[in-house]
Amino acid sequence: MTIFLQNLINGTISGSYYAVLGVGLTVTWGVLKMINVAHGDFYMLGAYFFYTLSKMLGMPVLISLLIAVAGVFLCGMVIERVVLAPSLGRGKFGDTPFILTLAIGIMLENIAQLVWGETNVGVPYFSDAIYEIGGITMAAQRLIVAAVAIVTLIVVMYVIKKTKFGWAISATAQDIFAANLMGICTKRIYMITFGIAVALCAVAGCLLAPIYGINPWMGGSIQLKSFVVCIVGGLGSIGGSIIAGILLGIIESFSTQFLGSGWQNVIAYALVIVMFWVKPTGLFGKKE
Amino acid sequence: MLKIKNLNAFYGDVQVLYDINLEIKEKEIVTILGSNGAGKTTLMKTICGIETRRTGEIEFENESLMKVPAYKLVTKGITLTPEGRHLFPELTVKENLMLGAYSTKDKSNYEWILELFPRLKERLNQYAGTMSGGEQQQCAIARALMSNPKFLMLDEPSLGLAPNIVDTVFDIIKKINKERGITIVIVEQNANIALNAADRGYVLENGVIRMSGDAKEMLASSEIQKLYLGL
Repeated sequence: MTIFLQNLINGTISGSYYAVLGVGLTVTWGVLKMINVAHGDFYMLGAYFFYTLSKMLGMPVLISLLIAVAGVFLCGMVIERVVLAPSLGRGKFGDTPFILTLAIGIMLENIAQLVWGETNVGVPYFSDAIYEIGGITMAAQRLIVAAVAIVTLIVVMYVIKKTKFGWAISATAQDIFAANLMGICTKRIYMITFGIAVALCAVAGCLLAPIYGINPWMGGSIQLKSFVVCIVGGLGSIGGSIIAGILLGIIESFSTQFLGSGWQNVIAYALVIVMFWVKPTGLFGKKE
Repeated sequence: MLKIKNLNAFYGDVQVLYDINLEIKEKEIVTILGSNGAGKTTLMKTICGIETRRTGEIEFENESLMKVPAYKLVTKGITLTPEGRHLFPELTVKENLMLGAYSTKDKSNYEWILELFPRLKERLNQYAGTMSGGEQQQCAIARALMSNPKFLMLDEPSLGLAPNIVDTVFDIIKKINKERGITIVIVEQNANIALNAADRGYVLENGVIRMSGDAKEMLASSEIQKLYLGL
């Protein structure tokens, strides 16, 4: 029973990060109608920014986190405006943005390699405390990580559902022609949405860095997981991504317990294949 | 109020509008008639600067619109209710209306609009995509009015609506014009109802203006009767 609960809690915590990452990718798809294969590399970039600020420059954790996330947000907006915007919404060249993100990913990985080197680096845990309640052990680090994920998801949901800016994002996703007529500058919405999506990666990157370490290729498996979450949740559905993310975390946690950690990525792929059999549109996706 | 001089429009290399000249005065209701594919919707989109490449001159209140991006027209007092309504289906009626006032940030019209469209008042929290066609058309007009426009363009407001609902929609259009003095352009295939509501009319055919004149005279003209009224 305690093993079951332990796995459930561990899975929910890592799942909350898959949710954060998946929401970013699904929003990019929903609004910009584009697949971002550099998503995981912004996760890496966030982690390196955080490492530079907190470890190399010795700044406090919270301030490093905020600056790193803001930094990635800005990088995302600049990259969208300079690299992606000219190719978006051009019917004839529908695949161009996708290929451009491939290039962005390769560039970010190589830049990281040049600037920070090829070896693994790490940042210390925010807190070394470990709690034990009824046989379930829980590192304070993981609790902090979960709390930040939940707060992030709540803020994102609130902004999208309840604010005028969020409605403008939804409007752009649903009908870009009408959004323009409403006076919404859809180009700006594209830019900010992309910034927010990659900033979500940065949040995950900063908080998971102490647990998993940092290297230029850390985004790869994260990219895969983000795709899985998006597809299982239903492309473009934020709520779907949150549920699918937590689901993936829990399934992985149990599979690690019973099958060993080598099977993690296999399980993720298997989940997608099963989803395609059962419900191709994903948990909350709509028919096209 | 709106002056169009020698306007040409193109989709890629294909020319779709030829040398359009028209003028719309303040507080008028003007209808633009024409059959399917005549270029009516293209004309509306071209005025807004959406989808087509254009040459010529479009002036609104003596200011050129040729270099104004589509999203800035609302702040100048120009609004289009597009063909097929283009509501945001997964937002509620209220959220749709609020987006109408997105860039003007002036919601003073809200109460008046709910009075004008009692059906919408009952459905404020419903998703726009789940309403009937007539309700969606009302919602689209209401959303356009939220921006407090001086100049309202309606593209096929009768499309797909039952006859009695068409009457309701046109009664509301006339009321908007009378109560608020909003200049209105109606693009229609239903020539009869449009000419009855309008002061003046233009006939568009294959991207060219074929005829124009007083709405009453056009109703009586034998050519219009034959081509567009089925008499």
